[in-house]
Amino acid sequence: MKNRILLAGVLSTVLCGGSACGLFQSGGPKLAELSENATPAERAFYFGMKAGYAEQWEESATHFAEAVKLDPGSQKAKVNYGVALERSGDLKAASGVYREVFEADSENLAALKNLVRALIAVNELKEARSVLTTAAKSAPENPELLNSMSGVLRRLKKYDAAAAAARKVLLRDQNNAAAIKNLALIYADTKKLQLAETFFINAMKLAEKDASIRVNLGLIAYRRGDHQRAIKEFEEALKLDPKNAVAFMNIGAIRLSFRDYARAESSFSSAIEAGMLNCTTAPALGYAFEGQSDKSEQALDQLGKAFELCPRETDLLFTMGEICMNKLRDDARALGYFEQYVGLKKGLAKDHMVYQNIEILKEQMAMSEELEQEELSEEASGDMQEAGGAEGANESAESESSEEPESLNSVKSEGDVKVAKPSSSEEKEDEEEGSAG
Amino acid sequence: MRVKKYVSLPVVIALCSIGFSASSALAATKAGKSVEEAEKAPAQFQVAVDSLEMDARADVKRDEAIAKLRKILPKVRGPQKAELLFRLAEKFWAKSRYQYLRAMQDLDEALDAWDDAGRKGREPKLETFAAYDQSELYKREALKLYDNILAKYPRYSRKDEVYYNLGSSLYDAGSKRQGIAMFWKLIKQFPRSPFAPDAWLQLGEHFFNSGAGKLNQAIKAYRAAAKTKKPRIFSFALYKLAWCDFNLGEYEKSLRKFRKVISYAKKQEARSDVSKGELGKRDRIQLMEEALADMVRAYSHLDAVDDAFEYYREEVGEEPAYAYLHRLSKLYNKEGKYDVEIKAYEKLNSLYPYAASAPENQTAIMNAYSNLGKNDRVRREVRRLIDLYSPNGTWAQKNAGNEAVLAKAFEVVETQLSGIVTEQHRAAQQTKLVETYKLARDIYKEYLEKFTDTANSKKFRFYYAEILFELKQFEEAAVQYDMVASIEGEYRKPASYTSVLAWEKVASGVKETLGKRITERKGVKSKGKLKELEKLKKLRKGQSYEPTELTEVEMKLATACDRFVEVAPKDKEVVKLKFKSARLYYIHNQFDKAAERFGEIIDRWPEDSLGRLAAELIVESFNVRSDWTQLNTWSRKFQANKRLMGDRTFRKKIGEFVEGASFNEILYVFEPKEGPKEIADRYVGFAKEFPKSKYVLVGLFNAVINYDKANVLERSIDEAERILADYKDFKFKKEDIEKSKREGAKLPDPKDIREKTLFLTASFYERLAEFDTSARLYEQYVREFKKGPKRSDAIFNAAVFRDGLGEFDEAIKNFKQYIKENPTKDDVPLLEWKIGLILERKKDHRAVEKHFAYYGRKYGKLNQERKLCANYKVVQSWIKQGKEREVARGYADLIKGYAALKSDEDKQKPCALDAVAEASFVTLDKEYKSYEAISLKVKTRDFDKNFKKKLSMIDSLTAKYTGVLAIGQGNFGIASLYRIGKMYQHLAKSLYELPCPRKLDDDQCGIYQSLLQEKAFPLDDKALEAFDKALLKAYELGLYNEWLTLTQEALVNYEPGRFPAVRTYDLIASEMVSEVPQLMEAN
Repeated sequence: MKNRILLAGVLSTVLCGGSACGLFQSGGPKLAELSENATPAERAFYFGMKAGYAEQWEESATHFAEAVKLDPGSQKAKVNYGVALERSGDLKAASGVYREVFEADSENLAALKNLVRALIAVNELKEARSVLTTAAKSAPENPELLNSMSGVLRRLKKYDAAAAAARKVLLRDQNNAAAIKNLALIYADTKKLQLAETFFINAMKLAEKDASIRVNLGLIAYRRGDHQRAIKEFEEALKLDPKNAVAFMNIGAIRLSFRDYARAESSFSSAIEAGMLNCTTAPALGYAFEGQSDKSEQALDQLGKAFELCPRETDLLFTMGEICMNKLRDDARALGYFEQYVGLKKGLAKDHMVYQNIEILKEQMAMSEELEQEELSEEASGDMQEAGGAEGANESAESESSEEPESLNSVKSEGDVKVAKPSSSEEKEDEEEGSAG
Repeated sequence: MRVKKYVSLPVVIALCSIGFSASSALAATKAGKSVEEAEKAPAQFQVAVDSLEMDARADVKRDEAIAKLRKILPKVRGPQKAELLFRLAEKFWAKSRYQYLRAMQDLDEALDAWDDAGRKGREPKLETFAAYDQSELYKREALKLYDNILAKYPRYSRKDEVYYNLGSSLYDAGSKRQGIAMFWKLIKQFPRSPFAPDAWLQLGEHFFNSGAGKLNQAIKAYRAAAKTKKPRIFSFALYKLAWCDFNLGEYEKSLRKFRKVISYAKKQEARSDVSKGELGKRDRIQLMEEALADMVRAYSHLDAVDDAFEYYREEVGEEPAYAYLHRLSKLYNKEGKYDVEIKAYEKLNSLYPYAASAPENQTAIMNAYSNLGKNDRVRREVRRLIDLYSPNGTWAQKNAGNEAVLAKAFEVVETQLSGIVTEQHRAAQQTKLVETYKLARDIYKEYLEKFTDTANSKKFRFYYAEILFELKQFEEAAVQYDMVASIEGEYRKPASYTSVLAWEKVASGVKETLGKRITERKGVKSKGKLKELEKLKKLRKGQSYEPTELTEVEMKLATACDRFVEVAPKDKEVVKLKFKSARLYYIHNQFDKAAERFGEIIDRWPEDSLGRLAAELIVESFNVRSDWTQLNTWSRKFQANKRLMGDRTFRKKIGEFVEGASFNEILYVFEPKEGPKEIADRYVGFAKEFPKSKYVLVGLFNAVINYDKANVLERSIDEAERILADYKDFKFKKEDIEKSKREGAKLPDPKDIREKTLFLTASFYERLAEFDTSARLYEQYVREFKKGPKRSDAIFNAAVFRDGLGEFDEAIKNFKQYIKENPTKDDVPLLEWKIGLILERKKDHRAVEKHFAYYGRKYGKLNQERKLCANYKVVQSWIKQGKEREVARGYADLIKGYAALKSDEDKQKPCALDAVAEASFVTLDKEYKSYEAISLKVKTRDFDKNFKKKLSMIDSLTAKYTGVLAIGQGNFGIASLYRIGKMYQHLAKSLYELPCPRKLDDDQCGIYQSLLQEKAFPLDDKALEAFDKALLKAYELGLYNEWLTLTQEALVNYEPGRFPAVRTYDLIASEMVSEVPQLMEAN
């Protein structure tokens, strides 16, 4: 485009202003030293920050919880507590904390932004808009509010209103990166991909290190059906910002759609690790596991977590049922998931597969029960008949059991042997029993 | 100033226990005479006033005594009664004295109050006080009693005393004749009475005081008194006889008698017996002191300085001798014996250089020389006075600690100097002689150097300046005038004015000749008139007007002018003076300072003709130097001055200055130092104030630019649209055009500003992502500005936006316009290509075909790769049009074209690779379909043939697909692998699906199918191998395309549960709401 140099100049100054531009390249944030005179609350806050910066989010959340307890008036400690909870995977609890702070102080922008983002993450777009509308009453011109509102409205496909909010910001600050992005993305969403692309390409010429531009160019390429180009852009974004969760997420989504499950798993795991835990990444990781024949249990576990995070995503239950039914051959669990699905999913067609599955499972289970009983009766009669040969059988058992202690001992004595951590309580119990034996 | 406390009688000798006379000093004081004059008279026979007697408590006692006497008197008869009456008379007399003193005290206080009140109203008189009336009453009572005694008791034993008392009382009461008669009666009737010598002495005093004609009678009376053996009578009579000789001009005799009084007193002191003798110690000392002091008078007539000093030193010692000689010196002065006076003072100062009165002596010497007219000696003595007795001099050091002495000396020196300088100035004015003026000048100088802050210093400095001016020492005079003018006072105004005159004379550099005589005139402007105002050169733009410093004299002249205006604001010449001051700064290019002064003229005297001139000078001074702030400020100030704006031409001129300076101030003054928002606001303010100004368009445009810089796009758009709407047909006034031609200045072209604004506005909307508006404005630009410098950019941008908005026809139209107008630009081929792509998006496949065919023809010769790609596009358009024959031909041409590419680089270009890969792959479709078309469901005899044929074709096609794979184009590489797998799968499937021949029974059929399966299984393995290869390669290279999906579907045939259902998610944008949450720092 001709004579776009002015716009490009503007963009160069603004698009690289956020955390997405080289934040991690510079070695991450540095924490100021703790003062000797720090109060207990300040100490807890400090250690919360320290653990957070070290990506130890659960520990961080513990410290911030303590900080909040010691100083209930500290809004920053509360917001950080929410962030730590969110980063450690508890988005629901985090949302609660953000909401609590926001409801106490509707001008707390940090709490508001986090709450809105959290609501978007769980697809609560109308609620996000409602929250922003409330906040805007006291600060109608606030650019951050307007930009957030623009983002939410765009997701609600209210493009004119979204554009108006973004332009309101630009009229006062044409360099506002978020507003510019919002407008470009509105064009992208309204299928004016070329305008959006032109916009980002021009921006990229002068803000080469802005990973977000690459991500959005990737998005546009994807919308055009050019998946290769899209992935290339996302990978370029990751070169600029190796922890760019959105890039990971988008790559994962493409890979998942083309059943490249192993790679999709890697992408979604990275996205979640980079802080993007939401109703896309959490189930998507589960589906990536699902596509890998040897990772059915992990799939089930991850989809369970996703459902906990996103209880509206009831389809997850159906998938989990199918995994149990088809991969794990665990009819009881499968039936449980299917029945839960039927209970929660409204408006299911009568001929839905789930009903068929339930019927099949029930039949199978009934048959299995019959068979088991038959086997038991056979075993009982067999025992009676083979009572005289029990000695030999015992010998055999002894010879088998003579090997068992050795393996158990090796586990017990060798601390360096890596033993996978049981993921369910059932496994734990097994381990305990084994140890006891 | 009135002396606050009336001094007591200077010489009081108690020679008598009764009677009183306090009148002498009072009389002298009341008569306005000085104490010194009172001192001229010799000591008189007076009554000492006993303070105890005058005490109020004593008076109470007296009243008690009077009451007792009055009680007793009626009961007493005979001589005893005379005695009681005599005592009663004494008491009344004493009471009369007491009341008299009270009256005097009251008078004293009343006079103080009267004086403090500024001597307003009537001066208090003694007679008006009640105590005085009381005194007179008691006096009359006493005299009545004395008369009564003499009348009723002629044989009263103390009759001589009654005579004396009555005589004294009458004399003191003013009845001198009756009093003298009583003294004579006493002398005649009681020549041996102890009161007779007193009576003689009283007679002597009477005659002595009765004038020169009675001096012989006085001598006789004194001599008669001296015959008494009473020492106090004798010594006083002798003392008065010395005075009689003095008065008769017999100074030697007088001196001897005075010496005798002293020697007698000394002898009396040796044999003093106060109980017997009648000359008490106090009286003796007093008389000696009187005599010693009065001898000075005698010496004064004898010119015997050395003799006198020696006598005194011998008789009374050095210190008193110093005092007597000092007194003698004063007398010499009074008698005009200045030479001797000088001698006496010089003797004192040489003998006692550090005496407290040494400065006083020196001033006396100085005055004496002055009196002698010896000017050189006066100058010398003045210098000595200052040198010797300055605060840091030896004399002051010797007297350090004695503050009173130092203060007095300072006062004396100052007083004397001021006296002499006044005298000399007066003399100069009288004589008009230059030399006399010079002496006065020098003394003034000396005085002013020593005394800077005395009561006289201001006045003297002014006089000094006046004399200097008269002596034509103008610079020195000016300096002195300035000093006087800087201080409040009566001389400030004349000094201020004459200072200007003096500095003007100095500044003019003209030397004036001094004559022999000077006629000094008085009055504020007595020294002449101000110089006429000189014409100022007109300033010219373009010339340098670097400020130069005023000379020191000019600076002082300017200051003097300013000061006079301040000192005498109502003087008729103040405007002229202020103008002079301003002019000095103006000619030195110090226009700011000049403006302050000119401005003052305009403010204070707007109707004065100099006001307009000043205003013009101010604005011109700032205009020629492009000092826009000052020009703006002053022009506006003048504009607000209605009187000044009375003249139409001037008003118009000032209006132009206000407008121009307002604009230029923003442009040149505020722009370099303020932020863009503030600057923009200023330009908008200018446009609001001057909506029709010739600068308004530039101002608004600058506002647009600055709002943009300040990142306030909203305001940029507002102002830009204002230019476009409100100033669409803006034209400069004819006079503005002519003026700019005259001044050689170029006016901005309104069209030029509109052109820039229109383009900018389009770009603003572009930044707001309002691409439709932006495109419309760019197109408007193209319509309005056929030769606009940004025309091609505008067309291009409009085209891009139209394309983006899906307005393909407008986009193409714009691109074509661009190409038409810029046929040689480098980007033309690219845009031609772009037009083709737009046509593709428009789905106008026929037009696509036509356009890319044209493109290939036009640019193919220059770039084979482009030509290949254009042909590729043509082929794609044929596909869309269903032109299969052309497609087949086109693919063949593409393959040939690719092979013909000479450059490896060209061959690796995506478009070329896509073209050749697709062409190569699709070209195989026919063959592939042929392969699929070969059926194995044929008669047995044909089965082998067909089977072999298929196997053969698999080999052949695999080789060809491998060739496609080798091209290196990912998508068609995967497609080729898929096709390879598909061929094997197809063959295997064909085998599985073969029905058993009818002739075979079931068992045979089973064997048949087993045999077929044996043949098919390896084929499936090959298919799976190819599919897996395709799958892995696609995953590895991220080639997520339809061929991958087909591959997956093909694989599902072998392993139905291998792939779960396809899960899709919308990709998300990178934006604020998708950012990962971050922790907030504590602070």
